[in-house]
Amino acid sequence: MAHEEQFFALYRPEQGKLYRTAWAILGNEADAADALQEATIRAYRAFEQLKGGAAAFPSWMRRILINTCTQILRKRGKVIPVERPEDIGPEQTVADVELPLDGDVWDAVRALDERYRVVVVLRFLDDMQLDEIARVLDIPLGTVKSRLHTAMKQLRHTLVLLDARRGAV
Amino acid sequence: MNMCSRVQTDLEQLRTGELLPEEESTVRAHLQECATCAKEAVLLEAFGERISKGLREWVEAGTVPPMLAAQIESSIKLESRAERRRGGAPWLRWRLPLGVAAAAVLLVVVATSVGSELTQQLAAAGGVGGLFQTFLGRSLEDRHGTPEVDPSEPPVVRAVPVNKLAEMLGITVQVDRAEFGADQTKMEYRIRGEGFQLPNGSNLALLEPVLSNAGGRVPFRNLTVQQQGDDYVFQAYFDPVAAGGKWTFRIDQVPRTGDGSAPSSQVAGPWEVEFEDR
Repeated sequence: MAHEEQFFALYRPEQGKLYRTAWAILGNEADAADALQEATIRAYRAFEQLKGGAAAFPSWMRRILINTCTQILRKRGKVIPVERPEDIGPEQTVADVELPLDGDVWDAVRALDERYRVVVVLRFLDDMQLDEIARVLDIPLGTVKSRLHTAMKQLRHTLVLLDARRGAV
Repeated sequence: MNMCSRVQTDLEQLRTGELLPEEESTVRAHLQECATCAKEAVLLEAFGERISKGLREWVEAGTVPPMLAAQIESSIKLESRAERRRGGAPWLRWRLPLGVAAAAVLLVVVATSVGSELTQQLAAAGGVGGLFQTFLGRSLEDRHGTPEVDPSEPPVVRAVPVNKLAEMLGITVQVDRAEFGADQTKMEYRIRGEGFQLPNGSNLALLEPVLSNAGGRVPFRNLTVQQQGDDYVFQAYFDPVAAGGKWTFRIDQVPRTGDGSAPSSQVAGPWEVEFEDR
């Protein structure tokens, strides 16, 4: 099998999951598309360096994608001032009217402000430790903790509302 | 920040054992005394699992839009073709004429021995300096053996606004910007006009652009495209080159739909834009 075909045979079953992973991290489909395209090309160029064979491909590819996404986030961070923990303002709440009636966890997560959504996704989808999140986003660990704490409170509030609305139907 | 607030921001790390021993002792001692925080810890455990499970289920159900899948496959085919043109395996891409290669190696040795300042000056210079930058960038990537991004070192990219048009035969090519990076050169441009159509994924190579300067043509790598209203917005990637000087960006032909009586065809240009990085 040609090099290209070998790559596609491993890549195609993963691409839907990879796309949504990028979407979750970056918050929109356009950036997710860019990130997936860039990550796929990077992976293809380095395909011969993959160790562990086909079984290792999904996690290897996913890691490349996450690195590509966090690089994009860091670029965004250059133009969006990063607040210090003490600068974080009063907690925002996600209005239940913004969410569909059958909303689920993703609907609640995507409704978060970007700075909160990113830490939630890197933590609970990508299983990153908090100090690793701080490193890849280039923000202090204390900021990551504060954002995650705030995000979890907002998510809990939102999901309680969604559960209540579902129960009321 | 009071003790309860501080402890509650540490609960997630407590849950997964990421706290330092002394931090963990402090948090656990507080949980023994504070019913509110203890209750919060129990809630967080279950809630974290719900978030994790919900996100994973959403990701597992993912599919890629067909157009994106086609673009990516097309990019890989272009990459594969460019790789073959460059000489196959990645390590063969950097076969240089013997004299130039020797000069580059000599520069690596000299620059390494005299420090990073000269390295930067050489990398920023044109001519052999550009080759040096190319050589250095690729050799570092190969040495690491991974395409992963080192988050502690954001890539240095020099962005040059271009904002120039080339119009001909009812087709407009607008070049927005150029980016000269250590590991690639990127051109952003858009094409619009009556009858312009995107070829299907496997034929995207028909739109392969040319970037050149006095030193010759820059090796092309791949192409991506997205539709934005009436525009098709392209990102073309080339091998890394030293920034500076005069550049020409050219598209030789574009595909166009027929008028109903004639089939689709290639319309010959070229559409050419010159720009300068001062």
